[in-house]
Amino acid sequence: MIVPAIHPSDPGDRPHVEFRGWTVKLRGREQLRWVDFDIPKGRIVALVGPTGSGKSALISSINRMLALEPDFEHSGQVLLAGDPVWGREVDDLLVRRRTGTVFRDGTTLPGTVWENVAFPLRLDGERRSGVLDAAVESALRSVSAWEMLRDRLHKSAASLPAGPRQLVNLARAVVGSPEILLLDEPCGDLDPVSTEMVEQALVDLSGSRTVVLSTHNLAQASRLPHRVAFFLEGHLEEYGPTDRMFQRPIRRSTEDYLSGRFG
Amino acid sequence: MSRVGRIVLFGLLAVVAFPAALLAVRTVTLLEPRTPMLSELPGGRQILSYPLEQDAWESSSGVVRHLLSDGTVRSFPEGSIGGSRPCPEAWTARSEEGPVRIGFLHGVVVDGDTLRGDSLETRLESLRIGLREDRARLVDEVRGQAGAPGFERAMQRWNQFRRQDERTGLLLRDASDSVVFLRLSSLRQISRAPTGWIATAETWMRQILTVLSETPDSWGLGGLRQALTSTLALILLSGAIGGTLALLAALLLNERLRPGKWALVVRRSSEWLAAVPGVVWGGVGLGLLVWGAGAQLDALLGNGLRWGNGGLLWASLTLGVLAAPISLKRSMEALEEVPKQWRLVARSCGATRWQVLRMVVLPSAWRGLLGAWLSAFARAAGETAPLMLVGAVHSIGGDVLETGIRLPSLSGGFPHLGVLACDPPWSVLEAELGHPVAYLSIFVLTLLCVGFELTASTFLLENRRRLAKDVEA
Repeated sequence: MIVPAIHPSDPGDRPHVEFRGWTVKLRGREQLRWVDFDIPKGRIVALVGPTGSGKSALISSINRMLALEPDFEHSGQVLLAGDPVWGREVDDLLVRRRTGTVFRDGTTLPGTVWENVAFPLRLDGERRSGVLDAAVESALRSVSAWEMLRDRLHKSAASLPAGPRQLVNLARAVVGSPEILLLDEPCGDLDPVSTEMVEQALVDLSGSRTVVLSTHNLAQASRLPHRVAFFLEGHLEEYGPTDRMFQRPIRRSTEDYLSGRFG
Repeated sequence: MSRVGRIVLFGLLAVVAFPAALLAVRTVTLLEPRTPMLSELPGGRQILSYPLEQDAWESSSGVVRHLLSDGTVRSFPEGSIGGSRPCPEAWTARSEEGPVRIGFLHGVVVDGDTLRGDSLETRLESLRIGLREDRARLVDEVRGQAGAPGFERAMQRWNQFRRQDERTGLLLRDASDSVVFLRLSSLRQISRAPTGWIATAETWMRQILTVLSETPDSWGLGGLRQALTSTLALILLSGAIGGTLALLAALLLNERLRPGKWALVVRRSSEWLAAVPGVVWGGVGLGLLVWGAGAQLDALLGNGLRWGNGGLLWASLTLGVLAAPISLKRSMEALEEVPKQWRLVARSCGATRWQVLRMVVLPSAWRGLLGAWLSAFARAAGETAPLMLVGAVHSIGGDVLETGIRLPSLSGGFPHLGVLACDPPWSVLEAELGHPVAYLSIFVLTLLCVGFELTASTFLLENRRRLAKDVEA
């Protein structure tokens, strides 16, 4: 049975990412079922829901990381700024360069802080150290980590504590000026202090950038985003402005989850 | 390197080091310079001889054997030989053309004139070396002029040298006063037992070096020079073939985030192939490469039998395929030690598979891959049996006098240390006389194997340690 999601549209927002009847099956198991909603441009949207509700699959649908999965089927459409993400002729790499991704576990690439942040630019063949240095500095500044890390640029990124390490990942995600940031539980493994650090960075850098953030942290979901999308078992249950979602949820399941009654 | 890794490495080293040390000791003791003995037989006849080492059977049945002055070996009942005394003034001559001779210097013949006197001894060595050098030079000249106008002249000079050479030699007199003439230029060595510990040590050292560096000759004398160089060539070739094959396969199979069924097939079959005994591979090489590919190639080229025989190329390919599974397994392990998450992060930045390999995997796992590559060399160094089927020979000819490095041709047979140890062309006599080539070749082969394996595992362990540190931190 397909239950239409309740998502009051906001005519003032132009959509950045549009999901149209998006359905994903991984290894024969349905991860997302008929997801149909828009992520507005320049806003922070939080994806909430219990583990296995399809948040990560949704994020991997936008950057085409799902294409790396061995046994994967999909139907429906995802549009990124109007371009179909899952069309036949779409280049994975182009889509991924339009997006910046941060994963939950805070794994950095091997090598130094500098090498981590400069990595996406070096993929494009940028070799000039002046250009790279400037880009690394501005990326680290935009996540408010420059002062903290300027003396440790050439130290191993893996040796940093978890918080700064996730900031390095954030800087790596924004260094190529992607149009959209995809954060898959970026604070999932962090203590409150580090979480605060990352959230502050997120607020600083979001500005006019679209951010999709999946989280288990309900407090975070109520603080940061403009909108919240609640997923349950691969289905978008309810979607709306943060205040309304927390104060006047329409569905019973939304209310139960957001008030902490389950999940 | 981690502590456990170090313990394992040094444990292995100790296990190999013990027999290797035994071999080395045996080699060195056999090379100890010895002195001929002058003894008396029951009938009152005197003999000049080297008593040979008694083996278990001989000592239980009360027999001693002596190498006599004419180069033959005779057995005597224990105790029948009396009044033995060392005889340092006797000479021992090793010729390319006949057995070992022991005797007193009776005289030196130079171009037909017999010289006698005390100063002979000092001139002997320089005369011998001069002649051998002349001979080598003239042989080269004749070879170089083959088919050229200068050939007649070179041939004339060679014949002239031969005439003089035939009549230059030394006269050795044995204990019963019979005298034998030995052509001086044919002598590989003419020496007396050294006196004093400095001379003894020097001779001892020289013997070891001689065995390592001499070429073998038609009498089965000589050293390991050819076997050393061609064994090294074989190890390098087959290691490079097998290691590279394995490395490419591992990269191809492992560097996909979507592991196909081929990865599994290759992995399972390589585990199975790693357990196939070497001699089976020898059969495969003989059947597929020598009789199959080689014969086809010969038929195609039409130049007679060349590739249809066992040779270095076929042997290297055989050993390469034999060494590939272990190398493949280790390469895959090294690649699997690179966290999958690194690849995901890099791919999410828009890296291609090739960029992930070049910018993430290789910089972090090159030690492991190098170690896996080198394991193919270690494996190739440790295998002997298949070579007997695909082209190992005792010697590749060549002049005994040559000093350069002679490598076997790709299509030709090659001497190999392991094969020489299993199937030594040297007579037992030579070994007993202080020419322990078989022991020495096993020892050298052990060193090669252990050297490659230690280097490989050091790289592998270091790779693991560093990656573990990176992931942990």
